[in-house]
Amino acid sequence: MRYLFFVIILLFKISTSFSQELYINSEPASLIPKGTKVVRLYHSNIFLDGSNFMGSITNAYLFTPSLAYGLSKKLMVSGSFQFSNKPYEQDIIPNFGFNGFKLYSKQRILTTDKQKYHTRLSSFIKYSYHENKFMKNNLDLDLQDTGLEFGLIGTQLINKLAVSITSGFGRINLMNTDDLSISTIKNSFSAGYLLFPRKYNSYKQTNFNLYLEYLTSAVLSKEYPARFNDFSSTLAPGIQFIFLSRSRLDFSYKLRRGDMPDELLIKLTYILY
Amino acid sequence: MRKFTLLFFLLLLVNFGFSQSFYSNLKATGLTCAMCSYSTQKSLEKLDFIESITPDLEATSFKLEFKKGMFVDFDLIQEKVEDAGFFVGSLEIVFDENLNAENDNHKLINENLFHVFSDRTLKTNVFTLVDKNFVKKSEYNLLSQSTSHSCYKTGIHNDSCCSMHDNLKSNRVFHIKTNL
Repeated sequence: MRYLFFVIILLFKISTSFSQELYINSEPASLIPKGTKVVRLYHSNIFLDGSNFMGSITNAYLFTPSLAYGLSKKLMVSGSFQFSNKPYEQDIIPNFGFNGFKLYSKQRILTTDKQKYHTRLSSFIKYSYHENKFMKNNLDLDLQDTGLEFGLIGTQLINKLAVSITSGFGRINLMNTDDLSISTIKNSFSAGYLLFPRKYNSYKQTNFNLYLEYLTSAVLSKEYPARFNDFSSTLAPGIQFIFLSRSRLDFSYKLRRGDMPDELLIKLTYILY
Repeated sequence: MRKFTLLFFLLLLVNFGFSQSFYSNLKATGLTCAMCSYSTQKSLEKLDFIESITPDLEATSFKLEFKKGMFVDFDLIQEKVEDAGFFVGSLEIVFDENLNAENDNHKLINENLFHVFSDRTLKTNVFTLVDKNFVKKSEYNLLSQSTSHSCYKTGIHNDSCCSMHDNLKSNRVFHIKTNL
């Protein structure tokens, strides 16, 4: 924990140059432009096999295409499908297929802008449905659980440094026991800065960004099945390339605390104007 | 007859020389990255009266050149910047030639009617757009006191407030102030 604070403070210090808020594992408070469609392809590899996690046979491979649309300057919506393998089943026949979907909307609450400065606050609501879990004692609506989440995102850009905090309240329905749901609170902190170019002169310059995100999830319910971790945290360093100012290629390595498996996320983004 | 034709062409030429035009420097706020500038530019490109957009990514500003013979709607420019998620910090209007900047003067340039604010009479070609939505409330209140014309409140040209102009493409009158 002390190490984390050190890294964050270091990031603050370094980021006197540039920063970005196109976070890899969380959403910024900023919305996508009105009338714009953003296509995203996520590919995740959860390293279950390496940790021989609870009898898994292979790693979990996830493929998630997503489409976001800017309805207005104050409202955006997005939806995604998740396709994955079944890492706990014998792979005699190919078992890669549909595993769930996610609906998300984000509303702008307030924004104040100055030259290379902004404060933004948005609210979001998310619904997730997933058939199979990959990490059986973890709770994660984005990846593997079913339920509803709503919360707030605040993003601040000062002197070209952007930091973002997300806080969300979730109700997660447990599989097979529909009458039982667990309340969770998810908090995340994200920061990032642009390493190249040092000076902008064209849309064609490839940008290179570094990111660091810290994501936590805690169970609020007093009573819940003992197999679930009451607190989980993930440290996710990442890099990002922006090509021709309209497409991005992101890599993020999620380091999960405790005996939870790590994950490599590759994300491709393309903006349709 | 030949003399008349010559005179006619000369008149046309002179007239052409007087046909003023302008471009704008738009400073957008709330963004740093080139991707955000690109989004803003893409949003602005939807406006049919814009001929070309030249970005300055480092300054997050855009030079906007306009099509001849078309009314330039600065309200729409603001709307497009805000659609992209950002704001207009300032909008500068630069004319080809110097104008006599006199307070409360109206000038029809290209297809746009401008109302000039100026502390004194001077010649200049660089102005800032100071309409209600483009300036801070305090500056708007201050400027309101320097004019008796109702068009600064309404943004609309009418006979009682401004000098007569027929065949206007739009009754929207934009208010500009010298940068000096």
